Amino acid sequence: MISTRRDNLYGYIFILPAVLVLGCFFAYPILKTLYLSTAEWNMLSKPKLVGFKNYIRLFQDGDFYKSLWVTIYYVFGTTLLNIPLAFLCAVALNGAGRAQGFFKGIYFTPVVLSTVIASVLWISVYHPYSGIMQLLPLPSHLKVQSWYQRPDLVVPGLIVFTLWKGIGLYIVIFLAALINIPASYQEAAQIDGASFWQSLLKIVIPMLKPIFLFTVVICVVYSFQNFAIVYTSTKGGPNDYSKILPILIFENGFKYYKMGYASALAVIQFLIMFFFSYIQFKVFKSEVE
Amino acid sequence: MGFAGAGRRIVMKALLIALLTVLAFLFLLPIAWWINFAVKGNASLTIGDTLKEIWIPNEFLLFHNLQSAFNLYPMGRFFINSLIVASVVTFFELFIASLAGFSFAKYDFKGKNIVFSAILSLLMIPQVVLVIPLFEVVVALDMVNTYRSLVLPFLVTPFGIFMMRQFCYSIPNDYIEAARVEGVGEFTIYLRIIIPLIKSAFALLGIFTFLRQWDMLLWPLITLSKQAMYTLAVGVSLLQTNVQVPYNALYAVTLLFSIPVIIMYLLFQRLIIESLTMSGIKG
Repeated sequence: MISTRRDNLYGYIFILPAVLVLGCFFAYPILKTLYLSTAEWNMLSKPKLVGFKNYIRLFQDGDFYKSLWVTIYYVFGTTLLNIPLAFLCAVALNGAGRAQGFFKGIYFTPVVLSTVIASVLWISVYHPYSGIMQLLPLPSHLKVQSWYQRPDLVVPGLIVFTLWKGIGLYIVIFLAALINIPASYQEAAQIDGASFWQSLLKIVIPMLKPIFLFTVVICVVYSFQNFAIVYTSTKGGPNDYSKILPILIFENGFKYYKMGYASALAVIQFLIMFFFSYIQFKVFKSEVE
Repeated sequence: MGFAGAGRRIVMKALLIALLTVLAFLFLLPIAWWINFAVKGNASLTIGDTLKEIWIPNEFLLFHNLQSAFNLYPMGRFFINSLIVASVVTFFELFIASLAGFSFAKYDFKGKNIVFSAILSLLMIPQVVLVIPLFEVVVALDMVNTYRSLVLPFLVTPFGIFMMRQFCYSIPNDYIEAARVEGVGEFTIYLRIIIPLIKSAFALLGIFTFLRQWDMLLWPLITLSKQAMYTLAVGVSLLQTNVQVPYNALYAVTLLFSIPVIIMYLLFQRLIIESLTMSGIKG
């Protein structure tokens, strides 16, 4: 695109309201967090500047590395299942004709329900005697104890819950994007001899690249940030095997009153997320951008 | 298309519907469970000798459960607060985010990528740490315990801007150029061309924003100290942290208050269906 005076003028004007709101409310919190990450603050007395001490401590902290591993496990597990499944579901729904609205509504309902209560509900889903889990045809060694109590199954258990709660949103997003693609594109390809899957792969998916970028980034970011779901479901247990980073930050800040260290952890988490997002933008780069 | 082809299509479609139905059933199980608890007098999982007893409610105490919740706290007031905040935020988010998203997608100006990256980075900051400094901002602006403190910081979000930008990419530049050739002003292009073309994105963002505001707990919990200003999410957490957690009332109330969001969803859905019938119209 050739930059013109019109572009410069209206470009700035149109983003002005957004920038004003965000700058007004979030510039200070960001700066304050950066500042606090170089200090020690128990929230009662004044912060004490200690330079990079928090960061040095962080890199030597076993809890941090364990939490980091758990977080990456949870984020990757959720996203790698969520996005492809949501997309396939949307494609299936797109071909289902009139039944579409009905099914879409059902898959979207968990999204609508209160997160905290849903978490409490799912604790009982995994209940060993009378949970919903008992109704499903699973091998018995998987049913004998709640998944939330097993260090090896707690993250998969959380992933399943997160999928149930969130996939409806991505299905709806993909459907909205698929609707914008006229059926004629795919039909034209199929008349030319391509199979359904080929037309899907070669035509539809590339056209949806911006949407894929969006859903993947959002899914990763939201999984990383997912304090409410995990904390309410397991509080980070058992034995810290589901203690994702936000929980570590929360505990350091609000439980141990080490706001400085918590801020440093937050900065590191931010850098990690930023790094992953950067990679995603590179991978999904389409010609338009 | 030969006869074999048509037959195959029908089988594929039937298989598809069957799969979707199984999935739908699995999705509904926890919700049936939820309704089960909302309707029973006792939410205990260990009472009952058979799965049947635990699973199928033998009493209908929904209104009784709701009543207990309302007796404990002014849930109606909480409901109104949530409704006001969610509606106002959704309205503004839709327009501010789409304006900015349109600009990022279709205009080229100096520093565009930097500004967008900065906005996107906001999403990646752990929210737990932002809450306290944000409260300091609210205090400095003298907005404590007001609707403003619940609304203003969320008038627009990076999520909304990001989403609108991605959807705006799908708009052909020719439409915009054609309008400019005819002398149409930029803002009118936004109103008359862009908005109708991304109606489904609008509906989506609208639902999502409303939902997020409805469900938001951490921020109102920390900044509000006047009970009359509490939102529904805070009210529900009050029920949860009660000395004697009234589980049945809890499940009943949360079920009831999912209804406005469902209504919003249905309302916004109509917009998507309308945009479907219009998508064939060119020029």
